[in-house]
Amino acid sequence: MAWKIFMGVLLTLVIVLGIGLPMSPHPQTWYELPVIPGLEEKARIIFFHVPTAWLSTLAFLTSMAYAIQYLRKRDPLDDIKSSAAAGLGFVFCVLATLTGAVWAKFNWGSYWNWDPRETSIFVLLLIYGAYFSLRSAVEQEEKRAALSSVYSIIAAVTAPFFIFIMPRIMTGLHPGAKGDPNGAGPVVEFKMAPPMRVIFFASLIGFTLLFIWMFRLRVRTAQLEQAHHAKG
Amino acid sequence: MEYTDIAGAMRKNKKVQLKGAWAKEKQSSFDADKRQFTFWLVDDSGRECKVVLDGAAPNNFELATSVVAKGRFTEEGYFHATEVLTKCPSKYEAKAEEVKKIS
Repeated sequence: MAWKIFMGVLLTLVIVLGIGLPMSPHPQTWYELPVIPGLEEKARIIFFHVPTAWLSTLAFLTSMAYAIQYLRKRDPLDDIKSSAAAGLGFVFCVLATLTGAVWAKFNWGSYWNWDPRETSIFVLLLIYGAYFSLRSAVEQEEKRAALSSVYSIIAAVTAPFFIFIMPRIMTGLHPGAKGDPNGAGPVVEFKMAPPMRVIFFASLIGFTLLFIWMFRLRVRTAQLEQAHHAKG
Repeated sequence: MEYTDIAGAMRKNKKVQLKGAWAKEKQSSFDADKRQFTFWLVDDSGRECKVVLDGAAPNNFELATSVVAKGRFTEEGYFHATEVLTKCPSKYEAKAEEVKKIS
């Protein structure tokens, strides 16, 4: 319980400070964020967009972990957990796509121009979209659990390629792409002013806790639904 | 549409996304009658070409670390763009000198 309150406070602070802290060309105090020429207020997206994408990645990996667990022990609960995590991953992947597209309109000049980063997240959405098609196509529960477990593992193996590799070895507009003057290639140089860094990492922790909370809720509701169905 | 350089854009006879940076030392201008913005683009290989954009220069054009021009090469030898996208810096720190230059 205490950790949920902590999460609530943390995310509230991230939202209030992330949106509310003043920006100054020459930050004098600890609470002033720097003005980044060309980004200005739009820089605030990093507090929400990156943690959203992070939550999505974490969820896909969690889905894979429970998929492996299912194939080893054949416990239906592991299948519930694997699909619950994949669902959250998909939702937050959509959110990362939408926040990115809106931001791109105002910073790059177009909602969508098939930048490698946009192409790769689109492919990722297709991959995980197919996961749910697969689940709804198989009636028999054990068969569905086994098939979707295998699929989740394969999907998660390809995911790092679309998240970390492809958008970084190709030239693009997204930070970290090849040709980015501030660090290209798989290893991105991390440059961020101290107050931004604090909010950014607080947000990452907050979103991680949010994932754990939403994941548990989803697993519990899925269990209740199943019990309800079993009773008839 | 994937990104390409000048050589790649010249080879293809269709709409491409030409990626490079604004060659600031060369003349850029806005033709108010035709409503066209003309500038020079230098690609990653260092080759330069003239770009004519339908419309005004996009937001952040002076600050962009790189630009993407959507369009194709014309027979007159310049790149005719219908849209120009801009890449912003990805460093989340203030840099005193850069800020001074702008203000």
